[in-house]
Amino acid sequence: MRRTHPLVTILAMFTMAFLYLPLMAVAVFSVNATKYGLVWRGFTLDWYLKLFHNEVILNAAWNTLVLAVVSTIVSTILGTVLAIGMDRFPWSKRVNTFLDMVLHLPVVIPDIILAAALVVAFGLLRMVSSMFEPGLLNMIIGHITFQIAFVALVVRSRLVSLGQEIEEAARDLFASTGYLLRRVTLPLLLPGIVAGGMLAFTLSLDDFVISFFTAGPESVTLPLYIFAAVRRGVTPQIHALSTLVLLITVILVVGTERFSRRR
Amino acid sequence: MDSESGGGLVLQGMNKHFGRVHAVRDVSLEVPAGEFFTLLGPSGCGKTTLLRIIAGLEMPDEGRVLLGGKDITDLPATRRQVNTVFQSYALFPHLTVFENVAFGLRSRKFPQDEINERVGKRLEMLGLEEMAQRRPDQLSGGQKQRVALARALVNEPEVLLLDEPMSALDAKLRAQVQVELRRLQQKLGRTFILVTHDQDEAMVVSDRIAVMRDGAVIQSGTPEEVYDAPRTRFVAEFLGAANLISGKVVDGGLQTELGFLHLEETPPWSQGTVAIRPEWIRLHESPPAQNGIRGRVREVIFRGTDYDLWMEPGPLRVRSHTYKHFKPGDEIWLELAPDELVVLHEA
Repeated sequence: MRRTHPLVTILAMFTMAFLYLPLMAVAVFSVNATKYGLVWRGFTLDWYLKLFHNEVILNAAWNTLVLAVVSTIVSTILGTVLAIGMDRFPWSKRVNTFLDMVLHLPVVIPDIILAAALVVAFGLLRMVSSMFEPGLLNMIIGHITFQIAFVALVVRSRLVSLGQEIEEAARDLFASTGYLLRRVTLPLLLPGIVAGGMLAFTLSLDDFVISFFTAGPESVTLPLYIFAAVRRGVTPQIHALSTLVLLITVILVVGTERFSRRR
Repeated sequence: MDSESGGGLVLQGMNKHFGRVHAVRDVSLEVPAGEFFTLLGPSGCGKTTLLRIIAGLEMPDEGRVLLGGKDITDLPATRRQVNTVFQSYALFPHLTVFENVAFGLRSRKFPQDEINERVGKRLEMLGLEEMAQRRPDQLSGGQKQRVALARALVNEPEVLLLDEPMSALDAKLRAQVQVELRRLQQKLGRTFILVTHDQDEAMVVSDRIAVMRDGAVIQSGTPEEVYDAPRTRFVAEFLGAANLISGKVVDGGLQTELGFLHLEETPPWSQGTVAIRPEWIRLHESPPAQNGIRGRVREVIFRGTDYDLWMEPGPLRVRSHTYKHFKPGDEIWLELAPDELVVLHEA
């Protein structure tokens, strides 16, 4: 067996440290019993307890959850339908290339551009209805717009790997379109759909930029709250809150990995 | 039985293009009910496309498909009494063997009693009872193939389509499955249409073979007809081995580079090719009365029951039984008897 050069090992360790030390630091300070400074004063869970008594934070957590759940459900359904439509309809080659580009664009486009575009779009929509005042509805719509592309990409890759022959076999065995979807396509797509949905949920949970540009005074989410709070000074409570958000994200990412690797 | 009764299939003037590729060219075929019919050809010859048109998975640009005398060209796959065994089997990976086989009955809302009975019967017929609760990924290649077969046959289709169903099996198993498939077809008395590129397989299982090339059917007939009297160079070479000898027609025969050869029939051309299979060439110690050629053994290949001899002049290929021993350099008389020389119908 070939041994790796020690330098490679050192570099790898350094990279890991670079990635995870700041996160570890946040987690450590969230259980440090001092309010200011970087000195260790003993272990405490006070900051976490205080979190759960802070109305503003609880409200922000609730907003974050509502935003993530609603936008994820809608975008998962729409993204799945989009993926099936793109992959299974006999588009001409040129249309297919175009659709492919349109689908990838929201993924590679900087969030800030999308956010600015949403501001303009909602500005126009406000001339039609006051529903589109900055607030939770706008945020949900904004999140859905970028989530759809991610869901559709994940579901479509699953569709491609499934191939068409199984669906042809089902049609050859007298399955109507409804029966085919219910008994064959959707069950086989499920790992892809769940993985796509979890990815969308994580993205919504962590999103700051889109939320910042579309939020109203009543619809502060955790990322927005943390941002505002940090400007007033970093407190151990923020560390605790960040650690919790980080933990949830990690759990979701691991869950997605697990699920999409099945079969 | 004929192609008008149930299970008889007629294709009329089939044409299909994919973009600029002419995948199926003017194909007209009649398959009587109860026949084992094979579409044989190299990959890309349009045989699978033709099968998919019969299944209803592909629409022809031109032409009609008649099943039991009825025009089914415009019926979708879901409404044809035709089922398919796919090349990759296309089993439903999330369903058990039982549910895979039951699929075609459930989608037509058969009562549970009948589903149990019919699925049970097919599983038993194909020796799959023990596997009923397994999933496809727990099966061997041969078992998967039998599940695919059971899944199609449980619907009692008027025509069963088989798209290279043995390409995923190893050689030994394939030979065994070919014989089983032939027996099954004879027992059921249903129309089977097989697509394959394997000429041995086609000859083992078929009542009739249609040889395809570039989207067109070049020749059809019983395996013996196609093997014994290939009409073109392509058919002669695709089905088994053939020595091709070109020459000019002169009085009563053919003047070739091997010498003058008597022929039984007069060729329709003045310059062209005749074919003779390696096992049809007779070997003699002394010159035969007609069509004798003095040959020298260049190479000897042992094949178990036969030797393949590559001869000079030539390269002529001769198949000889093992009880005659030859070694390179031996000289021998070859008889290319007139009744063994097949005149190819293309110059």
